[in-house]
Amino acid sequence: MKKTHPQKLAAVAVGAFGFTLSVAAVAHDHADRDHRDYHKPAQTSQVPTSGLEWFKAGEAAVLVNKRDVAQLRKAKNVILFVGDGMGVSTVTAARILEGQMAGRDGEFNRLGFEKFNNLAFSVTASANQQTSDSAPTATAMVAGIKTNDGAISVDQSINRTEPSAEVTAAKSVKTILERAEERGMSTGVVTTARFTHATPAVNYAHISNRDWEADSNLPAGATVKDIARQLLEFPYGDGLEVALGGGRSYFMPNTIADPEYPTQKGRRADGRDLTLEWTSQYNNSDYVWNKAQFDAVNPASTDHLLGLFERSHMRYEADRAQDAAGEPSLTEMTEKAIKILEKNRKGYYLMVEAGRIDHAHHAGNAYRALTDTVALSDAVKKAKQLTRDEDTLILVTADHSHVFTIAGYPSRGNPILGKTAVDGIATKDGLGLPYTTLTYANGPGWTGGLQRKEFNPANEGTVAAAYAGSKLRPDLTAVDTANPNYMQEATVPMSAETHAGEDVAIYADGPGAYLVRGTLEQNVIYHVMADALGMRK
Amino acid sequence: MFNTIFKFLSKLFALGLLIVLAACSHVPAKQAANTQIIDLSAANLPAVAAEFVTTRTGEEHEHDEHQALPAKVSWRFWRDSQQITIERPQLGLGELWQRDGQELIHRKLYHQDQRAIEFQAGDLRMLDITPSWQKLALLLDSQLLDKLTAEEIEWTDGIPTREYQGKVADTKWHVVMRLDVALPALIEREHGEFSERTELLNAYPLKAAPWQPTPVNGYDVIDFADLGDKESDPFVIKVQAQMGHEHHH
Ligand SMILES: [Mg+2]
Ligand SMILES: [Zn+2]
Repeated sequence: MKKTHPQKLAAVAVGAFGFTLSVAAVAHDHADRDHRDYHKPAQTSQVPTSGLEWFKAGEAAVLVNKRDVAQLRKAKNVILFVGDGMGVSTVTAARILEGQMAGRDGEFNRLGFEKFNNLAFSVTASANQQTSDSAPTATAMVAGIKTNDGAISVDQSINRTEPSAEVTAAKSVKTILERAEERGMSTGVVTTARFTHATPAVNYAHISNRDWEADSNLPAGATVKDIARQLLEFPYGDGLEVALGGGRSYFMPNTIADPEYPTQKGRRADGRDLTLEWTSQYNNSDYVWNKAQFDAVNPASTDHLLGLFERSHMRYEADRAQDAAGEPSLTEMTEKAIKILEKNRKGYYLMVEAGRIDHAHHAGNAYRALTDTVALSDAVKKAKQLTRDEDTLILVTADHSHVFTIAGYPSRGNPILGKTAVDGIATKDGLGLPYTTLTYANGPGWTGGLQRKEFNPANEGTVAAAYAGSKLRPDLTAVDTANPNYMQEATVPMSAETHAGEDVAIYADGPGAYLVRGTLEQNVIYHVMADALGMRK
Repeated sequence: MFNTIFKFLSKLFALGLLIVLAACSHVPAKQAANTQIIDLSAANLPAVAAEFVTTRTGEEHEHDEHQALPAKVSWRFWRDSQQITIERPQLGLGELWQRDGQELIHRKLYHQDQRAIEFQAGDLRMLDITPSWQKLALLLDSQLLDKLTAEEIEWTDGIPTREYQGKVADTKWHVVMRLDVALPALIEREHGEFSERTELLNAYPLKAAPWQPTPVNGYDVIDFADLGDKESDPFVIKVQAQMGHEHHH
């Protein structure tokens, strides 16, 4: 057995990721030192090119994991990153896409969080679902219990449409964010979805039905408060310090024109403008709805920041540049949030959600799902830069997966959005037709027996894809499947592609991260965070 | 067979856009003396309300039963500089296009349910549904008109019209545009066994329209992006089932 070279590991550890050791970085570090004739390692990951180099890279990865990081138990801060719908196949495909877009080896590339030291599987089944929606899964992560479909931080004994505030209160489960506020910590939630959407909502709201986002969504006679209102009437600590996302219309009255889309109005029937209430009820507070205003926010002097950048969900990362009023990226929102939250000596809890990976998958559009996943990776990298492994636990996970697959036997380096090919020669299916590497098990991309519309770059419209003779699939030979609007094929016809039931991964780094191992029920995530913050009852 | 939203969309879309026109010169004149000839590429077309009927025969594509629509659909159209509304009272469906700055906002309206599905600009882009305002407003792509052979302007009962004919790709087109209101009086298209004829029945200045769009103020508007997470919403389930049944009329 070779002796380890502690000084080498230490040197590696000083890299971009602080204590996080990049397997890739270690690999070329070793390769470089052990083989003087090895060509100069690039700044980025270098793919081993021989059996010996692969062997050494594998060995180095084990040495990294042998390092004892268990000294770190107690966290001051916790950041929970959630990729909504970011199953393992999504992570793999996004890793390859990111690498290929940067001109690197995609398969050897790793997203920011894939370099974390600790990993577990998360079992996502909810109390009443084999394959779950985003409400009970987010509740599991943030409130520590499994519950039923649609439930926002209430337990499984509640009815799906419980209108009573009293009953809802009795069935509510305190969240990690609420406990953090009780302890005087700072708290924040950042998302690219509506701020009232299930994943962000579970942090600050308790309601039986995820769809009750504004008062106009509540049934007549309901006494439970809508989700948006619960953000403003949050009873713990001094309220959230950071609330960034989309969903402006749920906070604005239906009599007031939207600032970005003047032809549109808010959704609230109670006449309340919650954006105004935010700034009047908190000191040193600000409300912003566009990029310029967001950029102008000084974290040093702002203690409560509300940012709502779209009437509904924010843009996909792929479309963000086209927003008229401008939207901050997930990375920029994460940075602003940390800079506001870190002012609190007692620490902070922050959830950051890439909320639209899920939406792109539902639409059968792999490109936007993957580019939003890369955006999440970038946000995690920024959080790593801005925090210290000694005091900040960072978790990255998904609430559930999607029926998204990476298929065939494409050669290493084959474009991930392309057609499966070996050494550039397209592989054919049983009908003699080429097929894409990425497909869905169900969804709107179903083509069986039907004419399918394909993107036509000539006029930016659609064109009917030719079916050869009686063949049951379109011939993709002339189709540009890497086009951002390409809809991957699906086996079972459904107007929206569905979630999937297999486990998702949890990546963890920092104090408490050692608890993330094995196959965990999803609600264990809350307990890992609570343990790291010393909240265990 | 089941229909996907995407295909459903393209279908509605086709119905909306490739519509019809008609009646050429037999449409009674609603305007007389100072009739102006509108430049079809003008940024602001006159505000109008109109009534059309579309008839189809044959299937649009071979083995393509999902494309089938009722053989005859009448529909109404309202246009001003910022908003275009189409209603098909027979089907209880409508659609709305709004121009807001550079953005296009689109809603499918389900009048019986008092609900709407809204498409954000990014959704439309992802679905490759990115019509120009001109195309929505004229009910025809002006680039298509450019590819057809245009006749001289003809005046009938004080109404100026221009006729267009030709073949683009595999489709034979016959279009008559009413130049006083910038609307098609007739659109006929034909390919293979399939033919579709859309005829203008009546056109009015918007302010003089005898009927108004169904008010949609109280409608519960849901995002297209949210459909996938509303698997237990009875309306969403119903709409998806309707899509599946549409061809079984
Ligand atoms: Mg606080
Ligand atoms: Zn979903």
